[in-house]
Amino acid sequence: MGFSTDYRKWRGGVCKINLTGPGWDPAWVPSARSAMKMWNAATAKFKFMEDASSAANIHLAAYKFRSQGWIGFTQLRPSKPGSYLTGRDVLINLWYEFNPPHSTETAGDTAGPYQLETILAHEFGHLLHLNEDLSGSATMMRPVIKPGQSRKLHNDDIAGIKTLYP
Amino acid sequence: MLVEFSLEQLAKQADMIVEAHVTAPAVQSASVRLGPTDFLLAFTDSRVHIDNKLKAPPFETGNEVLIRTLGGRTPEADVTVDSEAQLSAKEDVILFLTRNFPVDLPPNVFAVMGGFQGKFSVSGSAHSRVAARAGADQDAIGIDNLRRAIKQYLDINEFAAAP
Repeated sequence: MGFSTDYRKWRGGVCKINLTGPGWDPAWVPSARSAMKMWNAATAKFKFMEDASSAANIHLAAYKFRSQGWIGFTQLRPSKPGSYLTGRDVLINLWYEFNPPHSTETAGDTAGPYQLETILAHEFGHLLHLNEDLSGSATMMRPVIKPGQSRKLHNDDIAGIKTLYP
Repeated sequence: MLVEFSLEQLAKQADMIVEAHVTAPAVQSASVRLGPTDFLLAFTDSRVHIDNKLKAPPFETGNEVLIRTLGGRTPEADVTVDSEAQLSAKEDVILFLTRNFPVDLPPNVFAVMGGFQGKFSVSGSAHSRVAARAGADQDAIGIDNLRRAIKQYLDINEFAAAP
């Protein structure tokens, strides 16, 4: 059915991500870089970039809480329609098991492991302000993931980022 | 993003499964800072009246409970969570409910298992009631068939747990 978005964008086509947020395992940095690279390869007009400073737009963080299914969240600001996006957080729930595994945390739910790269690529799609895709297509923005499932960008995802950053 | 639940997983892992109708959606919104990450979480409470319990928790709930869903609007947060279960006024629903939530839930407050996956909207005439989940890949199912499937999963579960 295609992508959906409210067309809000990052000023200058750049979103800077800090990969050293609270709870973020250094072993998870390569997965975050791969997820960033996936979107960056879709267009030359938008870039996710690493920024280790506190001035980064987005901070990756991990925290453990009992969950009814939520494995990743993205929070953006501001929420004003029509404004440029400025930032906030992507949070991964350590209640679940991941591939690669977290070095220090033990999961409460052992049905996994879930592919961290795919979860991050999905959440980064939300950073782009692409909405969930409930159509059943195998897009990155499909809101659910099974253990071991790995996804790459679908043509609809690529159409989404190219429409936002032509 | 959510982990994917089959109907069997929903039935077995839910604390309570109810046929209900929504009496007051979005009766209350609040936000909390989540753990050491300072992540601001907004949520909304909706009131539902329980018409029938397909699976009852081992504690008393009464016939009215609050359903806490992620997303909401408060002075410090305005958060939309597309894949959360969306509850509308007067809607008839089958809900797979859990006491698990990112923050502790007060008594008689439940969350929906798996966001949109744990909510079936019920529609149709008295003789052909169907239940359907959000999303084009979730086919509508006759309500009696859904009840039977849930019962079957619960019976198997209870049998497996018997000494």
